[in-house]
Amino acid sequence: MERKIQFKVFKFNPSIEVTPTWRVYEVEVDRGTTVLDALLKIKEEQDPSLAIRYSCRQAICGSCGMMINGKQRLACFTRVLELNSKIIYVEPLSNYPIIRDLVTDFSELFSKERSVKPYIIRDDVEEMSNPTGMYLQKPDELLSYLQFADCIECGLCSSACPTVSTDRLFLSPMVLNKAYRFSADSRDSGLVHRLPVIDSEHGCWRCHFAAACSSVCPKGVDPAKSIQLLKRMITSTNIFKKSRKRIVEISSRPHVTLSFP
Amino acid sequence: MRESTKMLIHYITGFAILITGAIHLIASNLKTLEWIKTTPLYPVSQGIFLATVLYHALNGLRVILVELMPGYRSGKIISYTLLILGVILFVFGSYVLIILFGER
Ligand code: SF4
Ligand code: SF4
Ligand code: FES
Repeated sequence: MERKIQFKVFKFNPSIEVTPTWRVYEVEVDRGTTVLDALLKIKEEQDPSLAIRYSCRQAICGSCGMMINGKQRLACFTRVLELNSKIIYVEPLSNYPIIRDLVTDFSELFSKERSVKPYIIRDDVEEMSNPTGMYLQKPDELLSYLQFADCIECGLCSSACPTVSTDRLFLSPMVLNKAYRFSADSRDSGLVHRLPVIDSEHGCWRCHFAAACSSVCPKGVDPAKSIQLLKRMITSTNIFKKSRKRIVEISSRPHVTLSFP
Repeated sequence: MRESTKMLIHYITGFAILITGAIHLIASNLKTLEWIKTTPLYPVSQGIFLATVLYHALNGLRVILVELMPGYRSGKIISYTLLILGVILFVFGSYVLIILFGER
């Protein structure tokens, strides 16, 4: 059964406008219609100028984050009728600069992410550059970071974080979660290289554990938890003066060609 | 100093305030335990109380200020200003404690 729902959508083009406006659109929705479907319908039938960012339409790419009825959500993962409201307010994510309408600028967030070296770093440089096999991991080693590896980088957590809204240099929950995800990986020994950034004045210690980030995460990542685990990891590294050195078995795979031309 | 070290000291001083503050409250309010004030360790505990309260309070203030005024330069200015303030207050507080307990 179709129902008419009113959408109040934030419209703003900072390059030519001084103040934002709210436009009202009416859309017919059914129980399967997501907010993204409705916005695309508005774009196709009523306002082709509406700017939206999206790609996968299935909560994988992390592109369509926006404020829906005042809360950070993925537009493609939010069914309109689930919101149980006659008027749906749609705004760009808070805590990010606006590019246009519902599209926000993540470049600062991604440069913070690069600063924590979000990749496996190993001490055995020779093995890294000329791998002789694959790194084996026990199931419990995998489980120690698996939940935190589910992050799709949608940035909803960083938008909900009260510290990000006051301290623009704070690394943010998404980035700190990424730092923990790799530092907790048994194949990684890169914590010491990440410390200058994550253990700084605007690093993980500025998180006050209000857990607003975890409450909006669409993938159940729980960045508030990974940040507390990161604090514990740093503290024990400082006290025992050595990073947790993990030895991961390297199993050779003769059937795989590992030499490159 | 690394931020983690500053925060670790922050948590430890929080705990120390609880203990030394409790000693002070008990010794000042329970008639049966007033003798604590006459032990030589009492002035030491009050000295620890002074140092830990100052560190904990000023570091808490630093955390609030670096969040409200983010910036690498402002962070340094805030830290050093509070450090100097802390040293001055500690010297003054120690002077008061010495006069207080020195008379006995
Ligand atoms: S932790 Fe969750 S909310 Fe944050 S970026 Fe990753 S998926 Fe999005
Ligand atoms: S728990 Fe930490 S990172 Fe998450 S919203 Fe709160 S302050 Fe931000
Ligand atoms: S469009 Fe990819 S997460 Fe919504």
